[in-house]
Amino acid sequence: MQASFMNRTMGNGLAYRLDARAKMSISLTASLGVIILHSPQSLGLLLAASLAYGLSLNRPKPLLLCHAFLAVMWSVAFGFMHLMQTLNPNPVPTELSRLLVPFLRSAVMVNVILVMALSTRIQTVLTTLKALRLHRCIAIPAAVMIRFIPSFLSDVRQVSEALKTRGYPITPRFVLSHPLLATRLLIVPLVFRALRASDELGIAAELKGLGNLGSVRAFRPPRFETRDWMASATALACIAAAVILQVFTGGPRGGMF
Amino acid sequence: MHTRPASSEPYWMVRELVAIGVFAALIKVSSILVALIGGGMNPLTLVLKNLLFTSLLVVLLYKVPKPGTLLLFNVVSILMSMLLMGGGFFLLPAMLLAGLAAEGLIVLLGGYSRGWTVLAGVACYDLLFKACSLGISWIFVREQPELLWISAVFVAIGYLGALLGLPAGSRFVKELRHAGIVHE
Repeated sequence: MQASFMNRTMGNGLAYRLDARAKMSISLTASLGVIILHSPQSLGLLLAASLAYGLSLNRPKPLLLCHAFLAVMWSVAFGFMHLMQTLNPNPVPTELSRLLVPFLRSAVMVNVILVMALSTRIQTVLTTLKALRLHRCIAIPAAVMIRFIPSFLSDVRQVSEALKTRGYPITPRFVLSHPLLATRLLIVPLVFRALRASDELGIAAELKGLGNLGSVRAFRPPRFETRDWMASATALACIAAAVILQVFTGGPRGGMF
Repeated sequence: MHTRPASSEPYWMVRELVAIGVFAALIKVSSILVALIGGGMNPLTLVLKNLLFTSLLVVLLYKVPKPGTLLLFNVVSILMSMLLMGGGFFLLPAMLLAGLAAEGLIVLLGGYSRGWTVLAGVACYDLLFKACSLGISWIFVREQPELLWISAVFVAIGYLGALLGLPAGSRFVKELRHAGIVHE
């Protein structure tokens, strides 16, 4: 997510030209799809489609890293299952395809989430939230939440640098060996800063009349264009194709269906 | 200068909504950071992550002591997860159910004015939400139900951390009151 908050030039791929609402609808469709589907073939088809969508970012490195991480997690899970099978006198049958399915679901979601996170600017998300006509009680905290994340990350950096200056190394080893001290040194100043920021932001928002969202209009309102309709329709078509494939090929039956 | 009549005052003031947004971000980012530093399936990380979640939630409920704060915080968090990450769609009913039950418990026990009712509400919310989440995990790993038992162990460890977070949150509030950041 952090990359989406950076102020660097966005790329030229299709993912960057799509409206944020189209990307949100694709993410929702994909999450619905991975719940419905249970056969490795149909999830494989969905994975291929989501990978093509992910590659439209023109940034293969984060995609590769996430998939490598998933592959490692799958290998660990498979290794543990194999170990349990060896130790248990009444082994649970471990089929490769059954163990693969949860990881295929995660891989599909990783692809669509990365596109959303790496190709959308904060300002676009804020404008989109406004365009969605959310109630002020949800729109204001949501906008603050998105806006606050970069400043919070900068606070984390500052606090950890201050701790390094005082001689506390903020490394995974230090956090794991001294969890209470690490929490106290890192979290307490961050909570204080967050509460101060919340008070200041609240006053600034009231002074700027943010409570009256109805009168605020976007300088460049987002437009849902033909390509956005096409992308959303393609996502739906992929889900439909995967469901048809599942009906024809069968696959392991889940507990729900 | 016109002043609005008291009857048209909104239930949520802008600064309260801002505080809810700030805490939603704080909780999300700190959870991600703890998971990144310590590794997701590490028991100590799980305890620490849940400890932080409940202690920060307690601070928020002391900062904005109004019925509905917990529910609104949940709605905002899950909505952002849904819109930006596509995930969490199926966690919405579980979160709403747990949030409503916790809000109801706080009101039944005497409201937000008593400190221990907030702690009981947060403990109830986390327990219900974790139980419902386990049910949802079953949908995801239904092909390999043995994985659910492993998840249940990790969830139980996480809940232990969540319970430890309640006194930690109380302590935070005490310090913050001393500093004049959270008012009585």
